[in-house]
Formats: sequence, C-alpha cells, structure tokens
Amino acid sequence: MIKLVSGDGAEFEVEEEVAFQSKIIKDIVADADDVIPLPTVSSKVLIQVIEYCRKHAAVNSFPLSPSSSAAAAASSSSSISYSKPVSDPALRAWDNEFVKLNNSSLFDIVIAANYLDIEELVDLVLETVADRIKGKQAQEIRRQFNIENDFTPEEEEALRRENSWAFQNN
Amino acid sequence: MDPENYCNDKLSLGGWVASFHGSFLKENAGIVVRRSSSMGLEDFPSPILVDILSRVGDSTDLARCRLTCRTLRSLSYEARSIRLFCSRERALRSSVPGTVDLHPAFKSVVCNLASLLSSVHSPLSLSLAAERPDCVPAGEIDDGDELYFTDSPFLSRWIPLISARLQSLSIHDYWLQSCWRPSRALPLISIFCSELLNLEIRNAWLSVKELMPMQTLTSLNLNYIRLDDENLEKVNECFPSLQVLNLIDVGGLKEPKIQLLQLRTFTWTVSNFVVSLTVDAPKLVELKLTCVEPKAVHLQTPLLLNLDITIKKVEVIKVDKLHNLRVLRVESSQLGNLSQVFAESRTIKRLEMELYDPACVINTEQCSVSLSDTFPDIEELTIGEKAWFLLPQIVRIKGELVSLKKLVVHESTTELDGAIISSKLSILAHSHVCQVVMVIPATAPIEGRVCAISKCINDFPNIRWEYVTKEIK
Repeated sequence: MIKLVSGDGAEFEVEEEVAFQSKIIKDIVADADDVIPLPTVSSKVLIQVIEYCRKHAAVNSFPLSPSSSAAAAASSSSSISYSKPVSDPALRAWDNEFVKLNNSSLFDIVIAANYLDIEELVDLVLETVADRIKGKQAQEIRRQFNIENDFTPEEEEALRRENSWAFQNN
Repeated sequence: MDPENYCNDKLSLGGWVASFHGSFLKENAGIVVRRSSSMGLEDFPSPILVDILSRVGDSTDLARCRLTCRTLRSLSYEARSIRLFCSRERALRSSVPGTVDLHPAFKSVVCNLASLLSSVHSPLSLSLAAERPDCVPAGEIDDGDELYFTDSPFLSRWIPLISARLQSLSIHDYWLQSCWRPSRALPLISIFCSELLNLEIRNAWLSVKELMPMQTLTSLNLNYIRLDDENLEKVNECFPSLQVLNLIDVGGLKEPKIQLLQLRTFTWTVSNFVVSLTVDAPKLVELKLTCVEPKAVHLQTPLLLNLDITIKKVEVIKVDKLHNLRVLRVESSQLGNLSQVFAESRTIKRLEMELYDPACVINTEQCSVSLSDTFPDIEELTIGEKAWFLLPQIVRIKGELVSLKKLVVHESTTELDGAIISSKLSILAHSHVCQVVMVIPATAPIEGRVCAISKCINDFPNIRWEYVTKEIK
C-alpha cells in the first residue's frame, strides 16, 4: 500500500497498481518511503483522481484481446486524428460518466492529473473541455468558461469582420 | 528526455499549481482572493490551452474562440491540428456577386488563415475538406473552381507560408470539379513541404510530372484518385521512406509494382482492371490487397505477419516464401487454388476463408480446400457467410485439424436451421475444437435463433458455444 497525503493534510491509502497509474508516483516510489506528499493537490481533487485510477487500474490489469486492440489500431491509422480514444466500450462509458462535472472541477482535475502525469486522464478531461467548446458562439464560450472579454469594442468589431465567415451557419 | 528533467518539467508546472491552490487555501482562511470556481479558461497554463484548442480543431470553432479574449486569440494559431471544412452551401453563398465582404470565398479564408498561422513555428496538421455531394448522376462535372482544392495556383498561394510547420496535410477535394483536369498538387507539395510526414489526398486527378523525392514522408494515403503513374515508378522513387501506404480506388494503373524498402503496412484496393500487381517490400508486416481479376499477382514480402487478400480470379499468383505469416484471410472464387499458394506457410495460426462470388465458380475443384493438407497447424478458423452456405456442395473442407481450437462461422438469415448447421459441423468430427462462435445476422428472427442454438448445444455438448449478432451493411 502507498500513502498519499493531500495538500490539506488528508491521507489516502491506495494499492500500488492504483497509485502507479501516475507515472510520477511510479518514479518516486522506487527510492522513497511509501508516503507521498502531494502538497499541490487538494483532498477533494485527490479523491476524484484516485477514483479514476482505481477504475482504470482494475480494467488495465486485464490485457485487451488482440482483436479489439487491432480494431483500435486500424481505426486510428487511417486518417489524421489528434486524440486516441479508450478502446474498451464499458470503460469509455464509465469515463463519460466520470467527467460529468462542472468546468471548474474539471480544471482542478486536469491540473492534478497533469502534475501526477496520468496521461489518459489528462486526455479525457481535455477532450471533454474541447467538446464543450465545439459548436458554440463566442459569447456562449465566454459565459460557460468564465472568460473575461478583454477586447476594446473596436478590436472586437475588427475581429468579427475578419472572421465573419465563421459566424454564419455552415 | 531523462526522468529527472521530466520530473522538473512537471514540477515547474506544479509550481504554478501550488500558487493556485495556495490561493484556494487562503480563501478558506478568510482572505478574499479569486475563488477557484471563478477561474477562467484563459487563466490556464498555455500548453494546456493549446492542447485543448488542438482538440477543438475545427477552424470555425477556433475562429469563435479567437473572439473570446486575447489569450485564446493568440493561442488559437498554435493549435497543432486544424481542420477546414467547406459545405456545398457555403461555397454557393460566396459565389453570389456583391457579397464578398459577408461571405468571402472559402479559398481566400484558407489563404488568410495560412498567413496568420505562419507566425508560429510549432508542428501543424492541417486538413482541408469539401463536402461530398449526396448523389451525383454519372458523368456529371462542374466547371467551377471554388471547391477545387488540388488546384496548383491555389495551393501555391498558401502552402509556402506554412510549409515549415506542416507535419501532416490532408486534402479532400470535390470530385465534380477535380475529376476532369490533372492537378500538379503532388509535385508542388513535394517542392515546398520537404519535411512532411503524413500526406492524404482524396477525390482528385494527380499528375506526377516533376514530382521531387520526399525523404521524410512516412505515411501516404491516396483515396479515389486518378494517378498518372501507371506502374507506380514515381511513387517508389519519390516516397522511399514510406512505412504506411494506403492506395484505395487509385485508378490509372496498368502493371503497378510497389517497391518500398521501409514499408510496414499496406492497404491496396484496386477496383479497375490491371494486368499485373507486384508488391516487393522486404519489411512489410501487414498487407490488405483487394482486386478483381488481374492476370498476375506477385508478392515478395518475406516478413509478412498478416495477409488479407480478396481476389475474384487470377491466372498466375506467385508468393515468395513467407517466414512469419500468422493470420491469413482469403476471399476468392478460387479458394482451392489460392490455398495451395499458401500451403508452404506452416506458421499460419488464424485462417479465414470466404467465397468471392458463388456465380463465378466454374468447377467445384477450384473451391475444394483440404485443410489438413494445406493448413494443418491452424488454431482458429473462420468461414465466411457465402462459403458456409455452400458447404459442402461447392466449398469442400476435408481432413482433420489437430490444433484447431476455435471455429467462427457466419450464418445467413435464410439458413438458420439447427439440423443443417449441425450436419455442417460434422466437419469437426475429427478435430478437437472446444469453442464455436456463430455470427448471426441481426435481422434473423429470435425464435429461429433460439431453435438453432439449442439444437447445436444438444448435438455438441462438449463445445463452448458463443453467439454474436452482426448488422447487415
């Protein structure tokens, strides 16, 4: 068992394979006591991250069948795509539930996941944020993500003209 | 990157996190600071924002992000992946005279974007696509230019601006405008994009005159292309580093011969008539070849692991020794003859057989496969729907397979009958199969399925049965 200590002092005991979903923890554990302080991660976020790691550790311990991994490889090789989706449909469904959180919780998680180097979780959250941007007008994006409009009215007008093609229905 | 630096990298970002959470804690201590919930997207570290914008990808969405705030505006040009899509309707709108301000032509939007993207230096994947028309009467063409993306004057206006960034380029042209004129897109790309890794072009007529070698290109995808390189000599000469090649419905070929030393994965669908096909690729591990009736086929691919070959008929097929072949799928009207070709490959573990077109079978000898002689060591056998249906009259499978553990059969809706299935499965009588997977069309009535399945379980109690339904395309 590995003990993780959050920034606000809460302690969490987790199995090695759960903690090792984080590459950073995996690197640290080799030469330290098995108590790992994570001063930058709050207990609220750490609970969520551990929940994710526990689920993925359980699924990843069964290797994928050759046919499903081959299918995933085939689907990714054909065209230029940016992200690589999780190939197991049940796990993907679980992931989709997991990210049903407000934006600020997602931000906290992605910062922690990035710090802990949990690549799949970073991918999942950033993909979710990107999906929430797609298809929205600028004003909606600002509102949803709490973005302050720092353009002068003149600048905004110029930008609007420059990108006018993007504001009609495609 | 060594692990220590890696950690430092992460920790420097961690330092940013620390200050953020520091403020979170201070807030709890009663000091008024910006609440975490009011943190805006623009406060994120730039690398993460660039990552998000790269996943957004679509140029229209990115333009809208640009309008939200200064941070996103400048970072939007750093997105690593950008897709530009033009619908037919959009193209028509900008062709109305006098509306240029409101509806600038898609092509000028592309050029403007390229000049904005040119100030950044990070790698970029760009894709340009025209909407595919739903249905087009045969022989129809369109003499417009607004969606003709492989047009060389258009490409030379913007590709040079971003060629240093381009890692991947994908162009899906509009066939009605591109089909009637040869394009110099390939030579042009080869001149400007000397460091391109991936290239994909669809729906175009491509000339290879003055094509220059592209030493870094590792992946090429040509789909629905008329190619002016009848024997693929230019392709071999100019793309020597290709590891992945997809030639799907590439026409204009006569006696094509692929000769690529680095090739690992090759998908080749030849829908028109060719005299002969040759693949000479010493490192190839995966080949999917689909063709109709070439006179001759020659494979020189000693390291092939996985071969999927669909061929209606062929007069001469020559396959040089395959040392590692593990998975073989054959679909043909000459299953018997074709099987003989691979008889020497004793390494095959998984075999799939399907009949190309039952109407083409002239004599049943051509479709008779003696598995125990030809593939004695297979562990898994899949029989396609047409082959299974005609078993044992037209397709014959003889002999005992000692290593066979799993059989997969594709049932047709018309023949979901327990007694028939049971009698066909007698081919297993001398084998030690422990698992049978039945693939049943999703349209088959439930009662029929249940009836057939229970009969099978009853007749072969020692076999583990599994049922999969499949959607009919």
